[in-house]
Amino acid sequence: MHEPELIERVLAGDAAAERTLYDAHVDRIYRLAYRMTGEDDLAQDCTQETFLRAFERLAEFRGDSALGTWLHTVATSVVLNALRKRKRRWRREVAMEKAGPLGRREIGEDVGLRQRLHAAIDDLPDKYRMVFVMHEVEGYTHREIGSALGIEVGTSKAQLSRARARLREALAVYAGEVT
Amino acid sequence: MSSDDRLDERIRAAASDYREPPETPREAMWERIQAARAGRELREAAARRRRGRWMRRGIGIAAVLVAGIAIGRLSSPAGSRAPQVATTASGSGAGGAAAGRAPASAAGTTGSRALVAYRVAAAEHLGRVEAFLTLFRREAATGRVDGDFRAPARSLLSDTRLLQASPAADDPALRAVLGDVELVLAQIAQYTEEPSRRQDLRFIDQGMEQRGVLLELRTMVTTARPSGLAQGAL
Repeated sequence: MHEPELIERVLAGDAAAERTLYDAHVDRIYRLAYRMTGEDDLAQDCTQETFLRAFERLAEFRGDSALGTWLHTVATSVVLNALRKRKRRWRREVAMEKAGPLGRREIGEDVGLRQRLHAAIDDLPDKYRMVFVMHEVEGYTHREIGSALGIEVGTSKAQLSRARARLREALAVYAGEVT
Repeated sequence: MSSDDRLDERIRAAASDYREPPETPREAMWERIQAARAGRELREAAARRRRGRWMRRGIGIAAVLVAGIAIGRLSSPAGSRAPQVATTASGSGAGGAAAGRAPASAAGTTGSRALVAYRVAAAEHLGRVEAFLTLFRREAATGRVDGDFRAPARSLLSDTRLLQASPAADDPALRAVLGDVELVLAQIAQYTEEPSRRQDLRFIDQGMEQRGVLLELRTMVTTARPSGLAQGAL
């Protein structure tokens, strides 16, 4: 079924078409949400919220881009909001428990590149991390990233470049091994 | 290939299993999406019903007010307005009860008929305000107050201000109640659900409690309703 026809049927209240739309996109959205949040529950919440909003606002979709791109615009907004909320919650909890500062993890010298890299990705600002994960981990193109995040392709490239620079900085200790 | 490029390559390879997602829980999420959609539809339907109810009540109030004002204007002697009459009506006492009885004793005059009309409108209006504020306080206690309260609060507020500008407000007791009601309704009309405004709910509630607004309203609604004779004057 072609996308415009599918959308038309969803708008007409066809439950089977809704499920088809969901099945076609849910994997990519859940994967991205999971990679960004690192929590199954939160990733599921973000995915659900994305589809809830999408079904509510599908009438506003004008077909300027692919439906998947539009869905990713909704998804990245939902995920970034969820991450902001989680950070605020963590800050409150940390303040209440008077625990140590968040963010930087204690990583022993013997921890390998992979774990150190994952920790460094965690520490990237969310917007850089989103671009890095979408491009380097999930294989999105800069055009797709630009459309989803509402930024220019050049901005997406620049943010990826900055994210890589930060990661290189965090992994400087390994630089000698690859020269 | 520069060392940066080589490191980037290693980074890319090592990043491939960054937070590797489990299998997508398609069915579980789909069920929850369907349940959430059904829930939202129910809530929206309930909100629409509430809005419709308040809209109908608002129209009712407006109709009574318009009738009151029209009767007041038609029955006032040329060149003098109802305040003259209001002085007669409320002059016997500041209390709502006294003021409520006064029109009956002067029902034969055109001025008192005008005042009775205003008082009917005021009593009707205050009854609705009381119902609205009771519902608002009940919802506020459960923390479920949402934007649905703003529209009826605005509508009641505008009717309150109409009454404040009418001869009905010449009665000091009624004027005091209308003043309190205006303040509370204005606060509710401006209330938003933003997290930073949550404490406003408490302030509104405390303000109502401290000024005894609901008690005042109930007393006024009970005593300010014109007697059968007065209603007959309409």
